[in-house]
Amino acid sequence: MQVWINFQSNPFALSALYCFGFITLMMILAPVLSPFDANQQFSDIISLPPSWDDDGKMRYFFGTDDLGRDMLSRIMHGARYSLGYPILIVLFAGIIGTALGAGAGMTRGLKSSTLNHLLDVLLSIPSLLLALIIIAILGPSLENVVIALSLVLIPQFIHAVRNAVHDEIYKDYVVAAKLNGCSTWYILTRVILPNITTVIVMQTTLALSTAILDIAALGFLGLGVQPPAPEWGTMLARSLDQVYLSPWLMILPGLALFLTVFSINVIGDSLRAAIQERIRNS
Amino acid sequence: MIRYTLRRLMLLIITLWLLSILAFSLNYLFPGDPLTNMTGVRTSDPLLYEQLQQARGFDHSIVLQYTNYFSHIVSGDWGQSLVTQRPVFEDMQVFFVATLELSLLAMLVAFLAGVPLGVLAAVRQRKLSDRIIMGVSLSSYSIPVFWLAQLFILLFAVKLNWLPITGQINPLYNIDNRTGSILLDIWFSDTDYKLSALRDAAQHLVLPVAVLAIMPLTMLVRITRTATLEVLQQNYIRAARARGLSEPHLLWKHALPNAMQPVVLQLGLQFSILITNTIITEAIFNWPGIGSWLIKGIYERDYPVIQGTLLTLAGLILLVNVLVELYHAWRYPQVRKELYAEH
Repeated sequence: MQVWINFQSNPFALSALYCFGFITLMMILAPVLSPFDANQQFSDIISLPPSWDDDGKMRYFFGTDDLGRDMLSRIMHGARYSLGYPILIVLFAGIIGTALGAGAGMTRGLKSSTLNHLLDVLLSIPSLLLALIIIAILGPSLENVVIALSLVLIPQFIHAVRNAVHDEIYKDYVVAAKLNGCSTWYILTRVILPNITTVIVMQTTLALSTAILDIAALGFLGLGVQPPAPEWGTMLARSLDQVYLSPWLMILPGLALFLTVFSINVIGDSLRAAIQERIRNS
Repeated sequence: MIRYTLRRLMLLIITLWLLSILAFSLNYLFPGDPLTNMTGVRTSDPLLYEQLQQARGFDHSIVLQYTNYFSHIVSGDWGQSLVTQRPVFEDMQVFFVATLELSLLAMLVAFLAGVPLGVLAAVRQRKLSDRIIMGVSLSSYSIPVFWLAQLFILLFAVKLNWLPITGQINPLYNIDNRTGSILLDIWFSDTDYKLSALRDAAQHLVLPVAVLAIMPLTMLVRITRTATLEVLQQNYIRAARARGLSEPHLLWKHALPNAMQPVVLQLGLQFSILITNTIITEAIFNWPGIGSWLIKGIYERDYPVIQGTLLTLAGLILLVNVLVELYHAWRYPQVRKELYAEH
């Protein structure tokens, strides 16, 4: 609650939260709200500029692309791939990674330090490179991208949670709980977990922006979501040939991507600041 | 320090070894025949294939296969490309230098611009220039690198026509690609137009380097600002100020060296982010480096190339990280003490 009050007092954080909420709402309501289907072609209206241009039409608010598809509908439907799937991936990776990381944090000795070194190797390889290798094994498709990114993000969660648990476990309050005879499960869930929420929240926002950027980058490279699916990265890759004639094809999906990542980063930043403030005050 | 160095080097060797196991297991994970994936020799060449099968120990256990593979990797035999039939290791050297040229230049730009901007923001804390620097850095930190590259191309190459769009140099100059680094190539070539060729190459470098530098630059600004602010609150700064030292002297001699400590540690992390972005940037700007080679390898299912690029890029990142940590421990002995106390 205190965190929310701190968070609320920051106007940037609040507007970022509204922005993110708006994008999420658009994503959920896209089938109802969007004027056309994402792949519906209007062959008589090709490469129409956005409505604020002199040649634009209000009916096609963001204009149309080189195949006559409505850009507004494509961007709205695209949010499902560019934001919806990353959220699912992060939830999945977060639950598995946190569970494994908490388990690893409670163990000590050779087994734990071996795991730590293994994770160091895995984490030293950038997430996109690792995802690219997994795609090379599985082949490019939406399902494989989801699998690859989940596999890439799980070690990051394990590492962050393991280190956080490891830092807490020697502190006095945990030792006190142990001396009281609490079970390991109780110590983990009731004693340690509330104290590492900062780490988990930070890791989640970080993983979300990584997942969004990586899924878009893979789409951009033609190795992720395959056209004609209106994924933002894939749309950007298509726009590369058209940039001379119709720059809005490139600017609009990119702007959507930027706003999403930006609002997540601002939320993450302010959330950390708010939690730190609460810790300092208490 | 010797103990610490040995420890880090030992750890580096173990990590590289684990990496080689990962690369080895990829041969079995990739679709197709493991031996073909490893050496680039297809089953359609039965004579050579059978020879290799024996030479690589494929009629023996998997442990023997691995030791055989490992000795080949160490001796520089990384197989041949499935597409061009050229040895991967030889091609890799040229591509590697091209990538290194791009990423080192970007890192240099990021460091030279990011640190002063961070210090400036810290000194002028909560004033207008601080807010502008921090706002711009936070927003450019969120720009996807491929979109930034497209925007730069649209603005500087298409609309303003200041800079060329892709490639390393205008092919008219006819520079032989020997080292991979375009600047070095021109320097060692015997062309009559050295200066204009250098200028042309520099123009080709501006856009990719700028795109690559933005991300580490913004991170360095943020870290430098936080670190400088923290140092400026320390007692020894207050004491120096009380002794009447001038503000620039205080900043330059007392604050900055200490503020650099967390910044240096960040350089390793920034480098691995930079390498990720290099892969994408090279693909967009048609830069003949490891990144675009990897992407091409994935399109063409050229498994020896994918494996080689993975080994090189991951090895490079690991090496840079260890070097940064060693420098950090050597430059800031107080960190070393903490490290010892922990273990």
